Amino acid sequence: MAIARRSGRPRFTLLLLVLTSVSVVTLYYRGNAHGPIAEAQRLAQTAVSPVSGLVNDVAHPIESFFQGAIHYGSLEQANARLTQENQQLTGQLLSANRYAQEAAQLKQLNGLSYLQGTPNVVAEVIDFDPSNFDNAVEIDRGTSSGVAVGMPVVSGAGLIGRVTLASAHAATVELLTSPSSQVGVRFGNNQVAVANGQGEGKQLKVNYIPPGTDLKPGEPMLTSGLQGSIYPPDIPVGRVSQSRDDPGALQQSVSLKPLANFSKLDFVSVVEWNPQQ
Amino acid sequence: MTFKQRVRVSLAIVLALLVQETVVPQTKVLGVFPDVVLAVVSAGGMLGGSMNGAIIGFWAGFATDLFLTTPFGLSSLVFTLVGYGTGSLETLATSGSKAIVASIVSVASAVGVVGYATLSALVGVGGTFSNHLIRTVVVVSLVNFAIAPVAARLVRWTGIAETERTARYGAS
Repeated sequence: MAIARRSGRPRFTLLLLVLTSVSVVTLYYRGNAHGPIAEAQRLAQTAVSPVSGLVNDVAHPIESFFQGAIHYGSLEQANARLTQENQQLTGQLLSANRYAQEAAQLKQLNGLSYLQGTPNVVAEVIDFDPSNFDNAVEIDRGTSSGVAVGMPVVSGAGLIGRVTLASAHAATVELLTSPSSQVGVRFGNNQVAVANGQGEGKQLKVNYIPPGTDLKPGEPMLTSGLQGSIYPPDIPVGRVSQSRDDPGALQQSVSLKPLANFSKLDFVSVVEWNPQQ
Repeated sequence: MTFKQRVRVSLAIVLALLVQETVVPQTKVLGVFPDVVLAVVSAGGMLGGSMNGAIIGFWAGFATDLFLTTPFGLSSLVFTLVGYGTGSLETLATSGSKAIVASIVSVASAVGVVGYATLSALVGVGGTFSNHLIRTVVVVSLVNFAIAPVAARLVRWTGIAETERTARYGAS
């Protein structure tokens, strides 16, 4: 770390640090720094993931309890005279429901028809990326389980994103909703377009659909899998929720609702598919 | 900054980052993640002066970028500017009022969030300007107002605040 001296020049230091930051951003965009940066990110993830897992193990039951308390708030008021035993039973019931949901998700992931036999690794979501401008989750499987950067990640419903960082025992998955996410999609009679993420909780925006294209709400869109695509073909992405032809526009305004529920991701499947295949 | 202070500043950054990466993901407030690192950077600038603030901001941002999939270097750029900016307001912090420190940490955090969104948009990351940004700014600034005393205490523990005060006003 640089040494700050009282006799130093703060503005010079500021200029130096700003220029360094800007250089790093520039190198990142030019792709020159991806190797060292990715290596540093892997090391950081490896160091933090055990602590993260531990905190998650402690916080998960507490979180479930509070979620249950909020969900059953009115019921609790109506049953204010319930004893401690009843509260414990409610907690146990909530836990049981959660386990049932997790079991259902695992069952869904077991034998996904759209993967056409491509091997996959089932992983548990252990963390959500704590950034307000970045939609990503962390999973508990990494390179030691065969997970690699670039691999698509799916839930029982369909595509959820791809691996952007993988350490030995954990990996980061960039979600489809991330503003930097792009996925080539196919619909109708083999027409193709590109779906872009718009941020957490928002639907995807589909670009490059010519005006006048017949597109109805509910129409499914799958990954296109065209040459050079970062996703294999035919993975369900979402359904068209809205399409509009604006006068004079060069393309239709189309919104796509992802099939996967990003707010309830417990288990996912990493498809062992390499974009270079 | 002495060697001991540098070690303590490094530990403070690591601690803030660990909290951000392990505890914060469990504590979403109204759909928004609090930003503990930003609070520490703001407090670091306020109490340690603009140069120390910029340095703390740079390293804290650099470390934060290690955990994000957004363009690398953005956090260090924004946090550097926030640390330097709050450092230029350190004379207000010397009044000793915890409310003033907390208020400035809160405002600096809001500026940091908007700055990050703006720079992200400038480098081509879409979707950062939305209604969610307003909520993010409000929640982050309110949470950081609340945790500012803890962040300030952490910064004082590093010893840079004392050194800065002595250098500015002399030993009391």
